[in-house]
Amino acid sequence: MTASSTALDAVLLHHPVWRGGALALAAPQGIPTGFGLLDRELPGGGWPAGALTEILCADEGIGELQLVLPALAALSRAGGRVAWLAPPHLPYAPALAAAGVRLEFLTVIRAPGRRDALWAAEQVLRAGACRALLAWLPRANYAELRRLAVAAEAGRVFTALFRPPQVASESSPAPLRLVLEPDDERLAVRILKRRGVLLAAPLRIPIQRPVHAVGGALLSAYRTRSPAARPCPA
Amino acid sequence: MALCFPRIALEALLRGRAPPEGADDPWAVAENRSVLVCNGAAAAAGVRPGSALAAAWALAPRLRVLPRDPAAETGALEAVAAWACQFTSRVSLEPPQAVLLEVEGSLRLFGGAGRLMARLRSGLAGIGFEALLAAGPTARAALWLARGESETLETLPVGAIAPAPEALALLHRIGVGTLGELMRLPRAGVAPRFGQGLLDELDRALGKIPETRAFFVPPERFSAQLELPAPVAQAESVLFAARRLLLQLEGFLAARQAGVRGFALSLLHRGAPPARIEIGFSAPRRLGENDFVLLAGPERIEAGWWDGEDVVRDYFIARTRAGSLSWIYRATEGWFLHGLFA
Repeated sequence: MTASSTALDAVLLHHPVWRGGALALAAPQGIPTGFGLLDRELPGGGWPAGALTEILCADEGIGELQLVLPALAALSRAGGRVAWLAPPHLPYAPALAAAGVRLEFLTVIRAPGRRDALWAAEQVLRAGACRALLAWLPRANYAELRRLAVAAEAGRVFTALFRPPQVASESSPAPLRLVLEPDDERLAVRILKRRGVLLAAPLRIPIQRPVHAVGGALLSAYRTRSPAARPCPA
Repeated sequence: MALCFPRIALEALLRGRAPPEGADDPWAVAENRSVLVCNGAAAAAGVRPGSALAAAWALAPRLRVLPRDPAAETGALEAVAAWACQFTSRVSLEPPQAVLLEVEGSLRLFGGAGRLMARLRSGLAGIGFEALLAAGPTARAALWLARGESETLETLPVGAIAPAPEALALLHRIGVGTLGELMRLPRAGVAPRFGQGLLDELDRALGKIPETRAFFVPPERFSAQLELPAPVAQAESVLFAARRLLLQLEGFLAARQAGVRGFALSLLHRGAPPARIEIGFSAPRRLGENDFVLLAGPERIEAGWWDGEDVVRDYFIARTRAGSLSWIYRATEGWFLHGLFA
C-alpha cells in the first residue's frame, strides 16, 4: 500500500498531472511574471518553463509585451538568452533596455514564411541555449504546436506564442492559454486554460503605458493643421 | 473629363516592353486579317488601321503582328480606372476605349483642368498609355471631344459621336460634317431619318437630359499582371515592366490614402516555375484619419533644415479603435504610423 502511494506521489510530483479542485500544486516552479496578481493564478507561481504558453491578442500595441517584459528582464539579467521569433514589427531596443532587458542577451530572428518560423522555433527550443522564446505564430496547426510543445519540454524554455484570438476555439497542446484585451490603463488578462480550476473573471493587470489621458480628439480634427502651423497642445 | 485610348488594343499587349534604343520595330494588332491599330514605326512605313495584313507586310516586312485580345483591353481599361481613382472617386468605364472622370469637385484641389490634364497625361504615360484628354460639361460631351480631338462641340466631326455607319454616310451626303451643323438641322427632321437615339445622345451631351452612369468600384486588393510580348533576358527589361506595375500600385494606394508594408512580385517564365520576390518595407505607412484618437502630444521633431532636406514631424500618442496605443506623426504629406506601444 505504502509503496504504491509513494509511487503515485512520485508520478504526481514528476509528471504534469493535475487534479481537479485546485491549481496544480505539483506544477514545476514557474518563472515569476513580475505581476503578483498574475503569479497567484498561475500554476507554479509564474510562467511555465518547459511548456507552451499561448498569448492571444487581436491587435498589437495593447501592451502585450509589457506582460512578459519583467520575466524577460529577469532572465536576461541572470545571463539567460532570450529569442524573439518573427515579431510583426521591428522591436524598439531602447524601450526594451529601459524595461531592464539586457540587449546583449536578446536575439531577434526573422522568418519570412510560416514553415521557416516553425522550424526556427523548434531549433531554438531544442538547442538549449535560450531561456525564453517569444514567437509570433499566427497560423500553426495542432500537430505543429504539439511538436513545439515536445521540444519545449526538452529544453525547459519559457515559450510564449503570440497568436490571434480566433484560435481560442481550436484545441491546443499549450497548458496555459491567455487572452489579452485592452482595458484603459490596464491589460485585461483572461485565463482561457490552465492546469487547475477555471478562472471566470479576467485579471486586470496594471502595465506601463506611455500616457494617462483618457479623452482625446480624432485625427480628422487636425485635418487643416499642417506641421508648419503651430499645433495646439492636446 | 474623358480619357480616350485610341491605341489601347496595342498598349494592352505591349506596355510591359521597354522602349528600344534607336528605331522601334513596327508592331500592329490585327483582327480578321486586317490591321486594327499600329505603332508609330508601322505608321511611318505606311501601315494604316484597316489595311489588310498582306498589304501591311508588303509595306513593312518586319512588321510584328499580335492577335487582338479583348480581355487584355478590358483589363487595361480597369487598370486605368483603378489608377485614376486617386483623382476622383467618381470614375466610370466607357468600353472599349475610354474612362470618364467626374472632376468638378477635384479641380481646385489639382489646380485647374489644365494642370490636372497634364498630371493625368504624364501619369498615364508612366503606366504605359497614351491618352486623348478632354474636359466637358457632361460626360458624353467630354467623351466626344476627346474622341474627336476637338476644342468645341461646334467644330467636332460627326464621326466622333460614333453614329451607325449608314447614318454617318447620310450625314456626309447631305453635307453635315460637324456637330454644329447637325445641331442646326431641324429636330423634327432628324428623328425620322437618323432615329430618336441620335437626338437623345445629343441632349445627353448638352445636359438637357441627365445621363446615369455606373461608377467604377476599385478592387479591394491590388493585383496586376503584365505580359511581355517577347522573351527578355535582361533584368532592365523586367524592371521596366515592374515599374509600370508599381506606378499602377501607387495610384491605387493614393486613391485609398493607403500604404503598403510589403508586396510580392512574381516572375512567370515559360517552361520554368515562377519566381516570387517578396519586398517588405520598414518605412512608416499612411493612416486613415478616423481610426485614431489623439491622447498626448504633440512633440515637434525637426531635422535637416541645415542642408535643405528639411523634415518636420509632429509626434502624437494615439489610441486606435481596437485599443492599441500607437506613436503617430503628422508631416506635410499626411499622418503616418511610426510605432506601437506593445
